[in-house]
This record gives sequence, C-alpha cells and structure tokens, in this order.
Amino acid sequence: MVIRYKKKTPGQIRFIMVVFLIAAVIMILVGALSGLLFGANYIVDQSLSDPDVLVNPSLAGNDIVVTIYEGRRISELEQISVEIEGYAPVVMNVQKGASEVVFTGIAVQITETRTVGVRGIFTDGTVKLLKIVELKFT
Amino acid sequence: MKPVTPSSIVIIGILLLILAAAGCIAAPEEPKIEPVSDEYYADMNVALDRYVQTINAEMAQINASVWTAARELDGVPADDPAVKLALLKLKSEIPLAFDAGRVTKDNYLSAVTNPMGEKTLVGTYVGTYQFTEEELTSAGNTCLISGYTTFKNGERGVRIAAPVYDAEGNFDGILQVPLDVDYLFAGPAEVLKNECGYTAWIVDTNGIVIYDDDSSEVGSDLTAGSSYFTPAYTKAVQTILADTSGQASYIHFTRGWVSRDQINAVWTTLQPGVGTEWRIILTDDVHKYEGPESTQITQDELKAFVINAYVYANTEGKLKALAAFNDPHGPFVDGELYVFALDMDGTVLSLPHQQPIVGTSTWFSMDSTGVKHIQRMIARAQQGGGYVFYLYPNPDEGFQHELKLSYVIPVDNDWFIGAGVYQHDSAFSHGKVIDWQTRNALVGQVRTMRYLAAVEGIPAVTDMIMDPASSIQREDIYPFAVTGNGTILAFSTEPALVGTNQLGSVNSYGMSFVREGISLGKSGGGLMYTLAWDSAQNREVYVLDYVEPVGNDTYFASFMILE
Repeated sequence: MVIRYKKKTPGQIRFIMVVFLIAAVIMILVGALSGLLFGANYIVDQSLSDPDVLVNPSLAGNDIVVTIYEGRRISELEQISVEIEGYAPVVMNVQKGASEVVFTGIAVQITETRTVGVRGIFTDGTVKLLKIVELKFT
Repeated sequence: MKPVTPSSIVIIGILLLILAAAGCIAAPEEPKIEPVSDEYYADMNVALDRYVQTINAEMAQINASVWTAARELDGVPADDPAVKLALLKLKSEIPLAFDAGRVTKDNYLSAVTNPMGEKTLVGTYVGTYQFTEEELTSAGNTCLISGYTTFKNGERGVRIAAPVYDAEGNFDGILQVPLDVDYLFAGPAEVLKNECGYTAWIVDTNGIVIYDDDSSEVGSDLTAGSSYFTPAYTKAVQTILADTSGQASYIHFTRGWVSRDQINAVWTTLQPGVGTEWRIILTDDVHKYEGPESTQITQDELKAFVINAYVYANTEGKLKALAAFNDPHGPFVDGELYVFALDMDGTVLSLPHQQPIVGTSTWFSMDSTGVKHIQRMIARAQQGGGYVFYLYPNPDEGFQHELKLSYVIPVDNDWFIGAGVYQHDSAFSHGKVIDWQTRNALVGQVRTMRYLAAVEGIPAVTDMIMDPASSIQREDIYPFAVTGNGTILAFSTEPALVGTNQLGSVNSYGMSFVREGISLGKSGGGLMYTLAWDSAQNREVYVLDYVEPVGNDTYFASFMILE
C-alpha cells in the first residue's frame, strides 16, 4: 500500500494557524483568570485564617454591631470599615479598648442575603480584611 | 511453648474469682416490680380515654375536611385554577397540614399550596408512594391514611388521601394532605403530662414509633430491638403490638438512660381512618418539677462562654475545635453549659452529651410547640449571631420542657456554634403549657387570611385585620401583615404602626424579630418565639408568631401572648 501525502494549500495552512492561535489565546486567558481567582481566594483565605484582629459583624435591627475579640494588633486598630454588598463602605473610629463598634442605621432598607466585609485600618496606615461573611438581612 | 503448670492454673483461677466477685459487686441492683393496684390502672385508663378521644376527634375533623374538599373537587379538572383555591381553603381548615396537594390519575402532582413546592414539585411524578384506585374505592366513603413516612421535602408524618372523580364519575386522581402527627399528639400530651403526670408514646402496628416525648425516638423500629432494651421492656413491646389494649408494668431505663425504674403502662388502639392503626400508650414515668436545682446563669455569662469557644475555633481551626467541643470532660462543658456546633444545613457537628446524634441532620427538629428550633438558630446565626428562644427537655428536671435561651454565633458561612441555658424563672415554663388549641387556631387564622387573599385580594384582608368585627378575628390571637421591606400593612393591636417601617425593631435581647419573621416567611413560613412590646401591659412579653408568605412580597402573620 502506498501512502500519499496531499500537500496543503496556503489557505488551509493559514486557517489551521488561525484556529491554533485562537485556541492558544483562549487557553492563556482561562489560565490567567483561574490563577487570578485562585490567587485572590488564596489571599483572602490566608488573611482570614490568621486575622490581625478577630471580629464578628452581627445584625441588630437597622444597625450592624462589629464585636472585637482579640488579636496581636488589637492595640493598633484605629478604624473599622464595614462594606455591605451593593452599598458604599462606612468607616468608624475605634475607641481605645472598645469591645464593639456600632454602625447605627447602616442596614436601613437593606433586605435579602448580602456579603458583608469588615476591614481594619491600623495606626501604620495598613488596611487588612478581617472578616467576610454572608448576612441574611431578611 | 511452656507447659501449663499447676501454679499458673491456680493463679488464673484466683484471677477469675476476683473478676467474678468484682462483677457481682459492680452490677447495679435490678429494681423489683411492685404490684400495681387496679385503681391505679383505672386512673391511668381514664386519662388515656380522654387523650384518645381528643386525638380521635381531631382526626375525625381532619378526615371530614379532606373528604368534603375532595367532593368539591369532583368534576374540576386537575389543572383548573379553582383547585389551588380549594387546596388553600383545605389547608386553612387543617392547621396540622404541612401542605395540601392534588395528584392526577397518572400520579403527577398538579397543584400544592406550599410556594416552595409549587416551584419544585408540581409536575413531578409521585406514583411510587400513592394509593391505588382500588385501595381508595375499596375504603368506601372515607379517607385512606398512610403509615408513618418521610415526605419529599424531608418532613415526616402521615398522608391522608381521598379519591377525586371527573364529571362522569370516573376516578381522576387523589387529594392528599401530608399531616404533622407530631404536634397532633404533642399538644394534648403536654396537657396530659402537666395535669395528670403521664406521658404518651404512639407506635403503629409495625412497631414504628410515630410519637414520643423524646423526639430522638420517633421513627425508630421497636421490633428491631436495641442493646438498651431490658428483657421486660422487649416483652412489654411485644404485648403492646399483639394486643389492641391492655396494661403492663416493666423495669426499663428512665428518660436519659441513666437509671432503671418500674414503669407502668396502659394502652389502647385508635384507627384514625382506613389503612393504619395506632397503639396509644400512656406511661407514668414523669418527673414532678420541684423547683430549680441550679442557680440561674446570666445572659452575659452565657454569651461569654460561647465567645470563648468562638475564639478557640478561630485560633485552633475547625477539626481541633470540634474535637474539644465533643469532649464531655473537656473545657467547653461546664455544668449546665456546653458548646454545640452545627452546619448551616442542620447537621450536628458537636454535642458532647448526645454523641449518637453527631453527624445526623436536625433540620426538621421541632420543640413541643412545633417551632423548628434548629432552623431558628441557623436563621439567627445567619444574621451574624445572637440570642434564640425555644422549648427543650431539661435533663436536670426530669426532661420537662423548659424555655431555653441560647446564644449562637457563626464561625464562617458553613457552620456555627452556640450554648444555652434554661430560663428557670421564665413566665412560661414549668407547668405553663402553651394551649394547643390556641396554637392551632393561630396557624389556622394566618392560613385563612392567605386563602381569603387568593380569593378577594390582599387589601381586602388587610382591611379585615384592622376591623375588630371581621370574620377572621379570634380571641387572644392578633393578626398583622408586613411587606418584604418591613412596612406594616395592617396590625390589629397597634394601628399606629401601619405604614411605618419596622425592619429596625429589636427587643431587649437584640433580636431583629421583624427581619427574622420576613426571612421565615420567605422560606415558606412557620412558627417562631420572640419577646415583643405589649403596649397594653407596657412591657415586653413572650409571644409565639406564625407567618406565611402571600403574593410576591407580602407576609401575613399572627401572634399569641404566652404569659
């Protein structure tokens, strides 16, 4: 049996190259996005597994009470920022030795389940994510 | 191999003697059965008769409602909108109904009342557990009742079914009601326990427990036996299943499985409809409450105990924390206080005194009023944590149902921890039974409002809520309506609140009860406790709320005061 190779035309070669390039670009994009997502999750997980200050936000009517428990940088905690998904962050000062900060009226008219993030702003200017949790407002 | 010498035989013999003697010394003394007078059994039988009559009357009324509704649906096509209205009306007449549904003759679910079921179950094939046309027609002019079963949504109970016929009189499917038998028995049983000192348990003739004061026993098969069963108890169970009525005394473990004592029982049989038989058993192993044995742990002490565990869970990680929480001799058990942990789906992760429950789902667990207390705890944890009320058997008080205050806090989005204390000085604990008929009327009122809203519209019902003379009003039950964003549409006792937004309402325990009520309504509805301001008494009072969703974003509710 004789195997005959059919020579490809320049048009066919160009088509194969285009398909190859598109596939390569898609693979690179998917890889980069996955890495970005994994990296972001990794950074969040790492920062939350050993927070500088242990806090918990809880809902009380239209207020959110952020309770401050302990942590190696508790004495450096200057401000707390609460971010409710879909709403602008609200920042409040932390009084020296305070065990809780009440964000009065922050939840007015807020319903459904939303992600709530709590960030700590420290005396050296660093900002750290201390807690991220889903709260059921209604 | 060394040969066995006579001296080693002597040593082994001495060791065996010591072991045997130790066994004799350590073996607990078996209590002996004391004779029971005929008068004693007669008193028990009087209480049993009264209890059975109550259950029988309830079941007769439920059967009649289902049968009447089925006749009203004769000739109405299964997919007709009138079916939905008929189901809502039927559900309003049966407060113990989880739902009401219409099944086609091909065994497809064509309509239900539950909004969640409407989205997920309508159109699904349900034939595997349906009664056949032959079974239904052979029952005559009465409903069929299934054995104890787990429904598709996970709730447990019995199913009541009646045939529906088309305009020509041909079999056209089934009208069915999944029924909460737990509260059917529990409500009157609480009265029995407090007034007469007896407790009730119910088994079907296959030996499946369908009600027990200890909810962990429900669903178990008594014929399968257990290493905990004493021979006398096993024999008593066999007699109870074999004989339709009788009396017996046996030695068995008292509640909590700590000690054994003589238990006296009387029983009879109830046929609640065609298809099943229930043995109703009364026993006298009820502990009399003699006042609090321990000092009251304060609200702040409880919270501090849980926070200590929360910090431990966050610093040591989930695995190490759960191992510590599950240790009955560990640092997270302190007298009455102990830390429990659950997944947000109700699976128990730690419970130091009830290890067999670890790993099981408690999502549908109910207290003696029918409040799904685990779901209420999860709801509170999903608000970021706080206090929760529910009734729970207190082992230090003979497993009497006491008001328990728990503090819960989420560790992350997947699990939470908590601990609780019994409220010895609560206004409704110890002998202050929640009236089961008022509780059922509470549920019935909200369901009636929902049915009327489907017929006449929501505004017509809000007008009825505000009208003290309207047909929906009931004594000692207070209806109201609220939108999903917290605006009060109607409030029978507080007209000044109508039009105001109450999402910000909190009680003295920091409970966001309006938000929680809306959240409960969104999940399909149910019962919850809270403390609410009573302007007539000018103080906070314990209340029981029942809520159901109506339309797209409105919630009807009613409450009863528990003090």
